[in-house]
Amino acid sequence: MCLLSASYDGTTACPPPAPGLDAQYLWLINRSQVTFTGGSNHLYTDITLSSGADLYRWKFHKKGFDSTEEATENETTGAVSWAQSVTGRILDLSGAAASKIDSLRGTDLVAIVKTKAGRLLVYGSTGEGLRLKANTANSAADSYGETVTLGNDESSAKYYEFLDTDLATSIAALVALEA
Amino acid sequence: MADEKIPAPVKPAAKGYKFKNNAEQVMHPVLGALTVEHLKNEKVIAAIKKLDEKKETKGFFEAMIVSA
Repeated sequence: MCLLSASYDGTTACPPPAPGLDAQYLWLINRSQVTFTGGSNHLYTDITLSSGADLYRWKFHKKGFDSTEEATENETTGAVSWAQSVTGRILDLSGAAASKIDSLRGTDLVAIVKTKAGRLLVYGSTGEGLRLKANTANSAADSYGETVTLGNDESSAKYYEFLDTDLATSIAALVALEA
Repeated sequence: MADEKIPAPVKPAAKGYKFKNNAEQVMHPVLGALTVEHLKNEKVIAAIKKLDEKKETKGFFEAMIVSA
């Protein structure tokens, strides 16, 4: 039996943190090429890529760019795992857009998103990376473009936060590693 | 023959930066709020220059930052 050893005092931020993700920031990294430093309290403080590897930034439409995480308990063992996903839409139907989406097939990725409240959240870094789970190309006006969901089924841990000193330094660290 | 004394190579002074007009803080379109402390960080300077090179920001470094 596990014993609880933490209390939570509630959010004292006033006004409360802004919900949602900043659509200009989704960094994708091949999971086999990235190492994070830190990890206690679900906080990474540094990121290192293997030689020749790059971070790839994707920008999405502001509507429908979301990340989710849902816990599931294994009925037999009682073990808990998390299904993580990041969904976004690019406003483009073209050969170039199709090619970009196609490049996600078969990959095993770590995703870093920036919340509007100024936090960088890391998905797919523990246990199971993110892969292309769903893709819809739609020509209708209200959902025009390519909608993509990257996700996994059984991450062994919840998401992490990446914070190298402060937000600007953290973003700079990621930009410096971009292709 | 006396040993020739070879002078140690002179290290160039570390380059320092400040914001134009001695501003304490400026807003970068991608990195967000930058203070003079950020200008001491090589990663931040590299990122500012990289974003300018990629044309994601338009001449931010030249427009906002000068040597200290």
